[in-house]
Amino acid sequence: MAIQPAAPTATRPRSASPRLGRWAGPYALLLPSIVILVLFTVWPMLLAAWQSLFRMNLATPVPRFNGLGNYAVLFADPVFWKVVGNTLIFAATTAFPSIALALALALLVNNKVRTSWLGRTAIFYPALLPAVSAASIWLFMYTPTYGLVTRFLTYFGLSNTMNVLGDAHWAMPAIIVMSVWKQAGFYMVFYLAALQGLPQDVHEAAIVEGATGWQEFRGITFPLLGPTTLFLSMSGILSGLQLADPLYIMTKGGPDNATSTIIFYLYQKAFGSWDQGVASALSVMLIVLFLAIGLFHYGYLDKKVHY
Amino acid sequence: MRLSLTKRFLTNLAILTVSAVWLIPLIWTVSTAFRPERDLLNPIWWFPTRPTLENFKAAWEMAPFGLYYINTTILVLGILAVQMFTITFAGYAFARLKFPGRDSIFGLFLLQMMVPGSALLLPNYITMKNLHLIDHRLAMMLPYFASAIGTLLMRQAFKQVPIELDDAAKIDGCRWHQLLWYVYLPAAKPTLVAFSIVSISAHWNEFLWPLIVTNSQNIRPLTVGLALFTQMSETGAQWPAITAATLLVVFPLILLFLLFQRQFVSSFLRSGIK
Amino acid sequence: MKRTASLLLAILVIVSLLTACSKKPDPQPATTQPTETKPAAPVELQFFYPVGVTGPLAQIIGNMVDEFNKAHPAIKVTATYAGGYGDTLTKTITSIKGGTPPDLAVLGASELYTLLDMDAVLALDDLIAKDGGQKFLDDFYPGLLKSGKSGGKLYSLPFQRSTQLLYYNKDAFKEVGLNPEQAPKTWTELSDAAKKLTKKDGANVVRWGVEIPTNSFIFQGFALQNGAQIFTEDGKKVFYDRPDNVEALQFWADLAKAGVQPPGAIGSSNATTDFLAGKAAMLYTSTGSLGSVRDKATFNWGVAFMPAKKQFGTPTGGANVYVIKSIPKERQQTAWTFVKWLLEPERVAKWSIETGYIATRKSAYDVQAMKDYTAKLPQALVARDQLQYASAEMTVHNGAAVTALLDEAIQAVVTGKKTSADALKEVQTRANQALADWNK
Repeated sequence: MAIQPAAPTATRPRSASPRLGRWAGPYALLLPSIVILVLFTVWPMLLAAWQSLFRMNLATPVPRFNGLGNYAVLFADPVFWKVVGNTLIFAATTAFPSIALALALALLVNNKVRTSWLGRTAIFYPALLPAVSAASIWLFMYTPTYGLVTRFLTYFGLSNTMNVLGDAHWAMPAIIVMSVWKQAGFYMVFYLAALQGLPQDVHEAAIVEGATGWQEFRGITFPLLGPTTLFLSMSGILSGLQLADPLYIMTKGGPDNATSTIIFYLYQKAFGSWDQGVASALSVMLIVLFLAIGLFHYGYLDKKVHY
Repeated sequence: MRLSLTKRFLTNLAILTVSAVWLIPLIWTVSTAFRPERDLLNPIWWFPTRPTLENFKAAWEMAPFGLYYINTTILVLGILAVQMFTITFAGYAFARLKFPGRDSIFGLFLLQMMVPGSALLLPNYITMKNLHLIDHRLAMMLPYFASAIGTLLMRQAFKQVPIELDDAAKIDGCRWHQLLWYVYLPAAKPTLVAFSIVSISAHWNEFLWPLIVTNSQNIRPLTVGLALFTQMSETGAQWPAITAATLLVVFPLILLFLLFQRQFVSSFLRSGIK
Repeated sequence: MKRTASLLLAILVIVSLLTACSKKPDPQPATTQPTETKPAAPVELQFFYPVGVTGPLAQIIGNMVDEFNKAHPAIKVTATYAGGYGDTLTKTITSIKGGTPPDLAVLGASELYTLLDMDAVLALDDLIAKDGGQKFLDDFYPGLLKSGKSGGKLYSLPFQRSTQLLYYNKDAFKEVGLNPEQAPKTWTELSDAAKKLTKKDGANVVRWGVEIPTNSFIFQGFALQNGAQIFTEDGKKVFYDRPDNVEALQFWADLAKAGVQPPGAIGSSNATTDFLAGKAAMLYTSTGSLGSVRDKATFNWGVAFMPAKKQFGTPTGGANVYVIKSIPKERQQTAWTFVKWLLEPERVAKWSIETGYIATRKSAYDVQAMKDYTAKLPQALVARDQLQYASAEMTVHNGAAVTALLDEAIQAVVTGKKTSADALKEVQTRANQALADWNK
């Protein structure tokens, strides 16, 4: 979850109290956090970068310098490109539909009707489940012959031989459906809060002007929800790029890497094939990707969307 | 704004439909879990004709879910306990104190928010290995003891405290930790609650990192336990047992959610949007 | 009320922290019997094991470990279930690297080269020489023993070993006019029988003729039945794209095209469940599921050798028990005590009876309990009898990567994305690269 921090120099805080200042107080207060952050955020980035330059795998127990060789191996590996493609597609096709759906649901549930509470609860609860539990539930639903989804599809005339997760074309969509089910509620509550925070006077003005619901939505509501939409888009894309947990349960990246993602591939390379050099190179690429997105978000996008 | 009768009816209908769709996976899981294994393939769908607890018993016997519960609880509460300290201290430092290097250190916190732990799985595993912490509870917890999100939230909350209170307290002879405890923390209580809920849910659900750094059963958390449970027959043919196990894992979460719904939702909101 | 709640929470939090920071977590086995008070603390052994077939194996292991601990008060074995074969290997290696290795582990027999490349496992020759010697070794089936050997040393002993078996539904056979005592012996007979056994209801299939899980273990069976090997014994080369192998994979994929086998990638436990539910009349899977089939089948069933093309053939699958090298010498001796106990004929027989895995020692089949059991259930002997036609499961260096390539090709062909020739040729090139370091 990303935060929009106010610029650190916006206010002028008082200096530390005399007693505190004598003990270099601020540093003492920050030290535990700094230690952890350096050890587990900064250091690993450096370590991964360093190790990615060495050949370190089952055949090479003693690491040997390899320059950019590990990166070359990755770029030459068709599975790498498949996996990158899958991850990007997955991030986009989960984030945006989830958010659009969340907005629609929020508008629906925001009405003061008796079933609002049910709607909010029913749509939100999947967001709380561990990914592996949701995956377990949906794995069962997608099972051929007696899985719920399979049975459901037979009512539409599709043969009961459907093997959704075992089909190279349908496995990824199946996982996307599960992800949308899981995430939409989480985004919906953000939209709900934003909707409830919208200024009433603008809404009243719209009624006075005779705007239709759709016109009001398009011209007023949606733009005013801009910051929320941006925030959720970022959040959705970032979490989509990290998908891995359900794959462990549902497909192990198959069939034929149709559902493999960068992080799952990394796990396989690091803890299956024990190729630490290549896995480190992969980590570095991921780190660079996230840094780029982060800088884009904080450095650029933030300025554009606020009213 | 009061909708017309037809609009209300249609809206209710729409919400009911959507809710049904969203609830079906859970209902189906519950239904299967209470159904004896023989009935797995029956066309009878929702209400098992012969409800049984044998699947729960089987799941409980096949893997120590009680132990997994304890482990996950210790994990999330342990992390939270330390976070309370680190985010309070760091939040106060950023909110109220001026010192050289503040911007750079702030950048360090931002860095944690930008680069998620999943990108750092391998190097952090290596660090844990070098610290001889593999297969120790601390390995699962340590990277999370500092929380950039929490720090920023606390900073925001602390900034709301009128600076006059600071001065008044100092005139009264308050020392810094008393200042924190009596003045700042009470003001930040809602934030603390919100953050606690977010932190607990996030770490309750974590899977890949605990999978990597733990091996033995006695510290294994629920997520890893459930995942390995489904592997017991190479992607699990023992569906009744697996659905029972899944329910064992999610039921308390859902129960807590139903009881504390408002707090859950507002917590996520608070920690997301400013 | 609120105060007590916060107080309670605070206590919980403090306890959690203290527990978390305690130096070494107390090992807590899945099931323990309370042991009587002894003068000295027992030596604690850590034992990782996988469950790779359908069935309540974790409980059986738990019971066996309890039995051992009771009989050996000076030793306390803690058995930790560590997932499938892949997960158990991962956990064993991360534990070794992390400095807290288990003392013993049951790991895939085919993982030998990976373990040797990491110098992870102990050569057992010295321990055996002092305790059993050649006579001990001769009692094991040579084909099974072979998988633990490399460079003249023995690194593991066979524990849960299997061959593939053709399970078939005798009642279904009778129903379509096939002889229930005559399972298909050749590939042609298999596809003919499968066609007869497939029952449809419009577009829906009520029963498949045969169901074959999608994995490289099964593929190796087909290859062997077609007279082809897919790897060299030194583990340095693989031959995925040999014409015989291409033909084998094509035959397999064609079964789905002919509509007698489910389409797409199939998990082996789904296949077993379908067989037990009568949704598939024939099943290709490990003998390790025999116990589960015996307990759950509601129809008459039989097992047979895998159908032959040029010859009968099956890989021997399953896992061996390994002792980890980095444990101190005294513990190696204690670990050996457990290994020896685990592999006693009565124990081996019991394990075989309860699971369906082959009893890895010849003398196990002379144990009374085993004799009685096989008299009642002759199916239990089929896998052992098939051993004469069996060959080792693919055991190569860089095993995970090389096997993953094969799995990729199989999945591509079985899901109709590539032809057998194209798929195997493509992964052959990449497999050669993956093994290049060992072929310098």
